Amino acid sequence: MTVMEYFISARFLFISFLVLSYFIYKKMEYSPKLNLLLNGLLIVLLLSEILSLLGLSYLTIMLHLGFIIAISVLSVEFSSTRIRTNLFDDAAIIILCSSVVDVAFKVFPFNYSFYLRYLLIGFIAVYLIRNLIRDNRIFRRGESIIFNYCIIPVLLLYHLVMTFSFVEFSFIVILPVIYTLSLALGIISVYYRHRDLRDIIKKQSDDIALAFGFTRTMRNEISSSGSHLKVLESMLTSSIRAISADGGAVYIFDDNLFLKKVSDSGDYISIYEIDNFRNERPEHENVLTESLANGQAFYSCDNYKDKRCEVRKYSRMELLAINSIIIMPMKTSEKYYGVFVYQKNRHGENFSDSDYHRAETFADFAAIAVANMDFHKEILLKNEIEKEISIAAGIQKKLLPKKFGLFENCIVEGYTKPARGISGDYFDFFHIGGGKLGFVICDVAGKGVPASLVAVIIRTIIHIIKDRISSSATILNYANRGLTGHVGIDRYATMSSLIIDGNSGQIDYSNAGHHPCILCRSNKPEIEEIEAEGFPVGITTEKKYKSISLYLNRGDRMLFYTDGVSEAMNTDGVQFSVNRLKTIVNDCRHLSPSEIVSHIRSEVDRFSEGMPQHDDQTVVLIEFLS
Amino acid sequence: MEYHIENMEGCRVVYLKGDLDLYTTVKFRDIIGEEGEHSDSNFIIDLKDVGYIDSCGIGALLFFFSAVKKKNYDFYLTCLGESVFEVLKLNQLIKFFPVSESVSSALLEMSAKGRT
Repeated sequence: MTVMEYFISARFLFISFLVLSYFIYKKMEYSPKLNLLLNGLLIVLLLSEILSLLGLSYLTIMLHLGFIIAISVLSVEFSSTRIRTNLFDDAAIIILCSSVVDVAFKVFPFNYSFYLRYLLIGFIAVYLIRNLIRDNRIFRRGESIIFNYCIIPVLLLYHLVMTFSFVEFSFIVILPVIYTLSLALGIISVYYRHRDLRDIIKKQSDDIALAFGFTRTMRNEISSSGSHLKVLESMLTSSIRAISADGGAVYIFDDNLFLKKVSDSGDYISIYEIDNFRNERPEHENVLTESLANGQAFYSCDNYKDKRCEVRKYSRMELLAINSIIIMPMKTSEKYYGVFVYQKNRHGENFSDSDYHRAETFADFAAIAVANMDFHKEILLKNEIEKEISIAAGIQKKLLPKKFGLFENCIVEGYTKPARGISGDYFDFFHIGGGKLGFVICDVAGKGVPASLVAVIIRTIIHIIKDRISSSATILNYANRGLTGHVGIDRYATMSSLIIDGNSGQIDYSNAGHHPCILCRSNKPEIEEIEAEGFPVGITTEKKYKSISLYLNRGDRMLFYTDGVSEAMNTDGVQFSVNRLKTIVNDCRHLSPSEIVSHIRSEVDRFSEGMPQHDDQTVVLIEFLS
Repeated sequence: MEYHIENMEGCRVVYLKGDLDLYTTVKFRDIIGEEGEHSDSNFIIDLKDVGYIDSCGIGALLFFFSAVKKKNYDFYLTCLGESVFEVLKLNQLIKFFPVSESVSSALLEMSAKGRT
């Protein structure tokens, strides 16, 4: 064969195609395993051809043998790493057979070798046809496209060319055309597959852009009015555009659970069942109202064909004027806000399943956005309330005694710790003339702002009457009269009052349903409780409070507290208890009053560590010195 | 907190179950709203299944008691558990509320007063 003859032969054209294919396949870059095989095959065929032309047949044989070994090693390697695929196996076997046939042809250039090559051609052709016809689903995959349209035809053509070159029959035109067609078909398939991907990516990009715009609208609305309206309008117009609806509307439930249209857009046809729907109505007229009641989507691709939309099932005709409809509930796991309605009114235009799923995504997104806005508003309101409570707590703190220490031969120490910033506990002590010290402690039922208001009322009453107090019972009687019938009976308060004569040590003690005072006598080892009868203040004025009188000795201590201290709970649900308080007072006789109060506070805190403070806590200790 | 109401001998018997505290008082006040305001009859509040009561719970009982008394009907608390009894005793309200051992004994006491 002269050089010129070679250049116009099918084999040269085929080799040119191999070179071209190598670069095309390299750009495709699908599966790394198949790419490896394909590139290997092309290089081997190319080198084989060059070596044959140079008359180095033994090197061609060596090359093919090397390739056979390489494929075998790769097959074993992929098997062991469990990444072997059927496709790879098929490719490996066919290429392996191909190389074996080539080697056989070089070593035994007899008629049998031709038969062997014919056999291989037949086998590859049958395999290709089987793949194209039978395994259509797998065939669509990118790797299969490469395999079926590139590797197999390359091998097929290679062996055809090799065969016919030997019998001096040139396929100078037919073979390249067939090969080009098969390659083109493969590339077109890949292109279409890419086009689908591009469409999906474009849709997703559009959705991201819509979501971004919607989020911006939501942010603007949160920072301005906080209204749902603009956000829902924005979502409606975006979603109508996204699913190419002719018209749509968004409805939300009002306070009476009626669906109320807040916005519509495009050619929207009102539907009686939706416009007049009230949730929690027990009876349902049809499938549409039933779907609305259950918060389920209603989707009809073609209202003319959908049996659910038949006139005899619907009393209304609106659905027949609408070609295709999607009604999508807007709800979270906690709340059902309303529905989005989308319509296609032009004949022959229907919503697809994809439109339905996108509408679902938009509705879910809107529901979460509305829920977030509500949550944000709640947080703002809560912050506002907390700010006001903080101011009120500051005012209340100023109404409590400003300093502790020595008053009328008594040392007074104490603390109060509100459960919710502002307290329903109140204590006070004041000079009432004649060397006497007045003292009150009270605990208003409940907690927070309402309880603190009642506590402030009690303080006001006491400060008005403190100059004309004759006994501890007077304090309770005044407080009771001031409260009963003026605030609700459920805003009662337990209260203790005490008057100490700093000179004689005589005390005058009254109680209105409060915890008995703990008395620690300096000269007695046991702890006593001073009890006095009386209902809490604010319940009834039918009974007057009475005072009991007793004397204190030097060093005697009286502990007053509210139930927030004795009922402070630990993580096991056990209460701190009055007994623990008594024990502390008894065990800490050697400590100063301020040290005992600090110790009680730290002990209660330590005991209830890990538990929220459920009630206001107040402790006051009075030690008589004289 | 759960509750159910029975009519017995012309008396509304409210059976409460659970804790009666700050968090459940709202629900209890709903019952008061529905019952105390609109029902003209004697009331028995059965506290057998109430494990814990705080000042808010007592406030709600006082509110109910007051509403019933305003209409000149009778009101009883029955089956006080140890915890509830201790709290009411501490507040000295055990002497304020009419208390009976059981619903049937409360009905008997009402009957003796000619209330049923």
